[in-house]
Amino acid sequence: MKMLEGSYFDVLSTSNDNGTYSFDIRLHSNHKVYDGHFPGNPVSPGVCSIEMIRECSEMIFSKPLTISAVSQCRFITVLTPVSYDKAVITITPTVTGDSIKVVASITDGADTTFVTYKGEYVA
Amino acid sequence: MDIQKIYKDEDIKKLLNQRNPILMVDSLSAVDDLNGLAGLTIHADNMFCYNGKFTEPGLIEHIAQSASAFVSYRAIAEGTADNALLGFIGEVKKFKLCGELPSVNDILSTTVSIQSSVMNITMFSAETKVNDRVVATCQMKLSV
Repeated sequence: MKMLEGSYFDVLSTSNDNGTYSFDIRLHSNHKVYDGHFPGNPVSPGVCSIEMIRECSEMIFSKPLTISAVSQCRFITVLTPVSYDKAVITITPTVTGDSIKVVASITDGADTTFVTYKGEYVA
Repeated sequence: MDIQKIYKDEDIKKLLNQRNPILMVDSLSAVDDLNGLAGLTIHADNMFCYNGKFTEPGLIEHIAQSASAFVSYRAIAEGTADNALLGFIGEVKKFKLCGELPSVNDILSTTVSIQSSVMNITMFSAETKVNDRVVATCQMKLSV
């Protein structure tokens, strides 16, 4: 699914360190969602972060994934495409049968964490 | 508080600061002081539709806005606010997708129930149905 990739965000580079995948991304401040979230005050919607994590997870597994559960997702720092046009998505997946569990985060690549995420996909 | 009022169509903008393309609630009423009922008709041009299905982030956003709109509803009914309060999701917990995703033209019906409200943090549980089928359940922490 490429609902947001290519329009809301681009993946600049990827790496895999012992089963933990990192995606350097760029956010597009001109995406239509900012017309409404919020008028004159662009804030990246939390659910778009959840969708970016899904789309990056699909790149890891090269197949469509359904979000069957989100056990916990915390929004720690407000992400905006104005203050942060680049970010890093880190995903550690664990596969059990048909289910893929992931622990993920979105950070600025340094000290600031925007999102922490624990969820489950089914292929 | 007065729980008779039903917000729909343009009126919903009195309860939410989100605007198109990410306005994900089109009706809101109160069941009682702690429970609200929100609706959304899924149009084909909804930004969270993909291959004719309303996707999971759309469901989570709809639930978050249902909760946020109900917080504004209560504040307006109690006379402590004139307009929509700005709400942010602090945390999503125990989201569960139950079976198939909703389709274009389906009407979502979401019950949001306030579990606790301390300072500006409100904890909700929510259940979204299409007709009588439960599509998703979720808990959420909202900062207003």
